[in-house]
Amino acid sequence: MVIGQKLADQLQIGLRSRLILRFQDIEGTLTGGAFRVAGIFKTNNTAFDGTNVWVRNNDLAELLNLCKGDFHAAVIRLNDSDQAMSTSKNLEQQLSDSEVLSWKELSPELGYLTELGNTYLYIFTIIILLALGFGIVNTMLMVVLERVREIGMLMSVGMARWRIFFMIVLETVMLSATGGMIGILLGLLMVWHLGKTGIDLSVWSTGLTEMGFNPIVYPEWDAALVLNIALMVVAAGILASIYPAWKALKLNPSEAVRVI
Amino acid sequence: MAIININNLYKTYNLSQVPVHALNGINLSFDKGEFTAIVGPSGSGKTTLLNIVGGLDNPNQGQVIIDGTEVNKLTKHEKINFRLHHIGFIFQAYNLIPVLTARENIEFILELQGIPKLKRRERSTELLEAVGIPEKAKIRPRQLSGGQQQRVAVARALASRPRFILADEPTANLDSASAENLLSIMKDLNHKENTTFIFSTHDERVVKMARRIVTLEDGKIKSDNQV
Repeated sequence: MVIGQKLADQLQIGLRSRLILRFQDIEGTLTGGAFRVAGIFKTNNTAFDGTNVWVRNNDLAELLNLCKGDFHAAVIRLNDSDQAMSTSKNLEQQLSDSEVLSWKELSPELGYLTELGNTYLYIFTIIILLALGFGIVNTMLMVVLERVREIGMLMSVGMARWRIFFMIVLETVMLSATGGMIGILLGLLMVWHLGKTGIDLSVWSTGLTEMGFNPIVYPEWDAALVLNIALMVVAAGILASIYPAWKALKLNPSEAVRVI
Repeated sequence: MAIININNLYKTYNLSQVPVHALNGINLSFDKGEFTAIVGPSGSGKTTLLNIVGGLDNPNQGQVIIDGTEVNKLTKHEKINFRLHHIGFIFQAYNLIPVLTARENIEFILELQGIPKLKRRERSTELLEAVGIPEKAKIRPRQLSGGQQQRVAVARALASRPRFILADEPTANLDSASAENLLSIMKDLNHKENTTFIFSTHDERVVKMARRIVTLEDGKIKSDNQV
């Protein structure tokens, strides 16, 4: 048999130790068998390591009086965790005599944590966008202040106010779009690299393994999310440019042309 | 025939507790094709007068009538349009757009007016010749000398053939040779294009080139001489 490292430590056993397992067979009579430890495994999930041992299917079937092909549970792994609910509903309809549970039902706290993580992601995004907005306001205010003379001239010679306003908003959009594009490119390179090597978080958060999370994170590229954030950045840029643009319009042209 | 009539103009600034009477009953008129210097010590009201004539500031009392239009009665939006189509401006600090070439700076106001590209080209070429820097068409202001920059600014002001050109201290940032050179170019264009020039100045050598000298003091006209 193969035993989890945490369980092995708890039982203070090592390789080649003998272990007696007791269980009920298919009719409900108490039975058991002796197994020798052939290997110790360690997964990312310490809880799993502390509660699971693996034995050969044939050995177990003999002890339990199972026929070939008898199972009491089957695990179905999907490529996309978002499909879990709908797939389990489908299966439940087709297999009326079996119980079908999705991972969120089996382990609700895990599902809750994932949801919480997503919520946090949005909160962080909002905070970052806010910081970005203030950064843009600052940059564009500097742009306006640096060019008071130029803007004064534009107003003096008769450039329409909406054009001056639009000019500054457009400049902000181009600035944030360029910055956004460079940022996305850098992000892409980073995700591509880290997607291969992974980010090892085990040093900082041993708790992750208790919850069954892999401490090595492999970032993924989500085009929809990137597009969303890019649009949000441009929107933040437009919003943030309104104040500097308004400030430019408030200039007195006859004084502004003389500012040194 | 007068194109600008200024009637009984008063302007008071309340910057601090003591009101400053920048203009104190000005009556003036300017004819088409004039080349006029407005002189006077600082604080005499030169800039205020030019600002009000240019529709950049409003008087407390009196009126400015340009070809039958009472400028100070126009709305904000109408004033902007009026400036764009009828007045040329030259500034003390040149105020060119640093990212545009000399030619693009000259064409800028024509572009705001929506003049087609070919016509703009034609006019800017003509003006680059007139101000004597045809070889600088593709140069940006940063690489031009002060005198050259101000010549581009003169060409820009003239490009749309405005009714008149207002220049507030156009030579204040220039050395005397460039100043005289600029003035002779302005005088030349005044003659050739029959454009009215009104400029304020401190500079004696510049004053000498004017054909009419209006002297202001304490917001009043002290003298008004044809030379």
